Amino acid sequence: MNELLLSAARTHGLARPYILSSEELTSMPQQHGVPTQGIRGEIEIEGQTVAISLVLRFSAPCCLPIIFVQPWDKFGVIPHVDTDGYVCFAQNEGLIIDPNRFEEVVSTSLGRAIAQLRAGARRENSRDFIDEFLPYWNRQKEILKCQCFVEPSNEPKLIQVFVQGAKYTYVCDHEADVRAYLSGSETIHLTQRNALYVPLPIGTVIEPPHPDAGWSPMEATTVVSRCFDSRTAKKVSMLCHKLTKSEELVVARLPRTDGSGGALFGLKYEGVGKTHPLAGGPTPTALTPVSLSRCDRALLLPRGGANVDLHNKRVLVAGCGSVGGFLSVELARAGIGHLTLVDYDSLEEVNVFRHVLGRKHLNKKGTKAELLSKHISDNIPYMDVTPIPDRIEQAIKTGKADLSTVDLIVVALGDPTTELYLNRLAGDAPAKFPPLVFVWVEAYGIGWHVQVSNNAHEGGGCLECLYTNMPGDQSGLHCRASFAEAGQEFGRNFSGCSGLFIPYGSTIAMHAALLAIKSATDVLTGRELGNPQLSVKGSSSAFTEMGFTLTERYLKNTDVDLYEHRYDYVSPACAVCGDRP
Amino acid sequence: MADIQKQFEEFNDVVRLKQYEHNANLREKRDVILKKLKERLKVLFEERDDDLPKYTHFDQGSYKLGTGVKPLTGDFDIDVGLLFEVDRDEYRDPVVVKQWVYDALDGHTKKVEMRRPCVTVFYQNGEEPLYHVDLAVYSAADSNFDNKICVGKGKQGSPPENCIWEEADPDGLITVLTGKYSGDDWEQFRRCLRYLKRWKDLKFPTAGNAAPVGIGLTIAAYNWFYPKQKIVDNYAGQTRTDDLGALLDFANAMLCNFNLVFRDGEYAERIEAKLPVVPYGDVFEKMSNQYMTKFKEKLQKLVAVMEEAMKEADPVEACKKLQKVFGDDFPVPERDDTGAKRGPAIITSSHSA
Repeated sequence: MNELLLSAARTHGLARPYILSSEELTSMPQQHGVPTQGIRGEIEIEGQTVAISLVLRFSAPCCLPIIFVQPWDKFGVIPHVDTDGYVCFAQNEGLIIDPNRFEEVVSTSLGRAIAQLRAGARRENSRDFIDEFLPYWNRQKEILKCQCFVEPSNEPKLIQVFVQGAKYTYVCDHEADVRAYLSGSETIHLTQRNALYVPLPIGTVIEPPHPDAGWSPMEATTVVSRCFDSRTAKKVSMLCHKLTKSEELVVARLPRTDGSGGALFGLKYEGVGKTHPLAGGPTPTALTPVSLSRCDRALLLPRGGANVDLHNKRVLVAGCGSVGGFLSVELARAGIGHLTLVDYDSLEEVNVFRHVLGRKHLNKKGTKAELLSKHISDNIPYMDVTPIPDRIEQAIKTGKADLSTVDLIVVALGDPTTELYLNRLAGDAPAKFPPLVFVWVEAYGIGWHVQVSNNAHEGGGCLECLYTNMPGDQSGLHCRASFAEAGQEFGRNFSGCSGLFIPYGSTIAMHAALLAIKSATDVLTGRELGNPQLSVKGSSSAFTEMGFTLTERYLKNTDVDLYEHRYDYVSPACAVCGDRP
Repeated sequence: MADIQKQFEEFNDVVRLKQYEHNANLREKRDVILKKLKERLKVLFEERDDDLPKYTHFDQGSYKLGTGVKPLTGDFDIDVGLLFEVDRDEYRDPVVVKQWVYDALDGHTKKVEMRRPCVTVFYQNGEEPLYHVDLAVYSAADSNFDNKICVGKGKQGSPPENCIWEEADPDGLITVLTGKYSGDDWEQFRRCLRYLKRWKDLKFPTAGNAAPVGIGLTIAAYNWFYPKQKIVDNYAGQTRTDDLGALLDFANAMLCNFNLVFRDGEYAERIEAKLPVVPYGDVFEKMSNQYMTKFKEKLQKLVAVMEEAMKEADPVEACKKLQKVFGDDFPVPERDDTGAKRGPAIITSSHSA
């Protein structure tokens, strides 16, 4: 292996290469991985001689070698070189390395690192600072940290900063943004002050400050204000009239090279005179850099995989049990911004193994709807969650649940009687009702089902169709989608009538919830224009071991068959959506 | 198309010979005869100072298959096989062995008769026939050099060429027939066979060889019957047993198997029902061409009526039509019974969330 390293060093012209001793390896920076062996040699770049170390980590040859340059700032602050000399020559994610051609891997790495240094020394890659500015900014010592909700607009503006002693907590356009982020779960009791937001023009190149020295107040002011065009300067000057404290925060935006997004960084001036430094006032006495952690919804939602288009949608979830619990949390994560959760039931010990709310919620006051609302607000930003601790029928009847403001209802009651009632209400006044997504699981996890109603732009179909017998069938109320044969009793009883439950596991509830979320989001985004009935088969072994009987529908169909026939359940004789005389 | 499966099943309940209820009674009668036979044979052989060859008995025929129907006249039929340990070389004339049985039972009832395939004991109430027991006489496989079971054919006074031991496989026949279907399909097989047998009893004269023999219809079903379900709800995967459809298909299949053959000096359309075991003979062989023609015509009529019933939307009308071919035991529902049935208003559910 050492020979391999020396060979790479020779190939790339490292002078006087030698194998690093174990003491030398131990004294190297460890945070990029513990070095196990390595070489060091010298190279001249742009007339300056630097030492290059190439070390292998424990997991070599399944990872790239690490390359350090010493001294790190021999060429000034240049892109892709960290203060410990670490040279970033490749992305660490999204790579596949061929361990069988490790010699090539090492040689290529060294070649790229040297090329990176050379480009830095020649100031050829200074633009890389723009797209990668924040890591360089944030490595400054004594930096303040603050959550940022400021929309990175193209105009200078006044913004708000929440101060807690010497610390900044939030910086935002409006207090409401912070409240929305907190989903109403925390109360803000902080001092609020004006601050300045300044966008720098596209194409601005700023060399980040030296991490040890930082910028002086004068340097900072110069760096930022020299980028202003006259219009911006004028606007900034006007805004600065309102900024008269001795301590002032400036949030600057450095756009990416393509003009999108960009890096936001903060400058905290102290000892500000009567006129703001950016309006030509005297140089403040001190400057502290501020690291801004962006929490605005335009960045957070897509970054977390949520759908921004869904964020203004309003979904009512009827039933906050096992399925409804997972479903509500995941609807929020999918990007739905407004949830109304309806359930009158309370969380009990017997629920914890299959409910998203675990043991710690057991002794809390409130219904499942209330506890779940709190759980979502506490954990997921930008949520507007309203609990209605009532039965869904009652909530609709009394107007507590205002359906006119709801885009979709997910029904996870596991109670066909109430579900059919809701379906009929929608059938009676289709225009007043949003689309409905019914979801349920079957005993012992033999399957899970979703039924979309009141969404069809063409073709009918509703939950009632599933309970409409075909001619010659006299099975009555039995659901046609069911995998369990009619006339069997599945409720298990541990403590008298009140302890009756239908056995199925948490994963089944999750599967059902996911299927319902897919349907709900498809309906809300217009990808689903019909009223499909989706069924997925689970394992039947526990069910049949208990001596229960499966339907032909379960036995004869694969999941693919079931999916292909998802619109074929529609019954012309349906009392709700069928052909009416 | 009316749903009249319920009526077919009710019809089946009426016509079938219930193996456990009805036959317990018949079995008792069979046992009385077997007891009598045992006692009398012992005496007969003692009188002749001879050793009685060992024998065992077994059930055979529709009694064993469970495809029997109640006779219209009330003259039930019990089939019993008697397996004698006799060597065919020693008893070349089977009538000798049959004669033992006849002699032992003669006088037991008013009428005991040796017929070509068996000895029959008739039970009567006055002139009213109650039931009869057919006792077929076999020579056991172990007693013969060729290990073949043979049934004794012939009766007193028959010319010697008609008195023969004919190879048979009574166990094999039952095994083959019962092996064709199982479960619900076997039940439908048996039900449809019973409907057809009841039709036969109604539509054909009992005397001679005018009617197709029951075993012939059984073999035809073995060859051409296929179980049938009709789809009630394709989405739910729900099907319903369809006896009318199955029987109609079966009857049509039989009609398709009538072939023009030259026999008895003329061309005639005949259907064969060959035993699936030795001696592999056609059990319809004895039917004359004329009777065969009648058989076919009656089958055609049956098919026509069933087709009409199938088209009929009103179950009452459909059943009335079927009553014409299956007789009064085929139920016609009351008008009130035929409305769309609804299930109970409260049922259990497998759903949860």
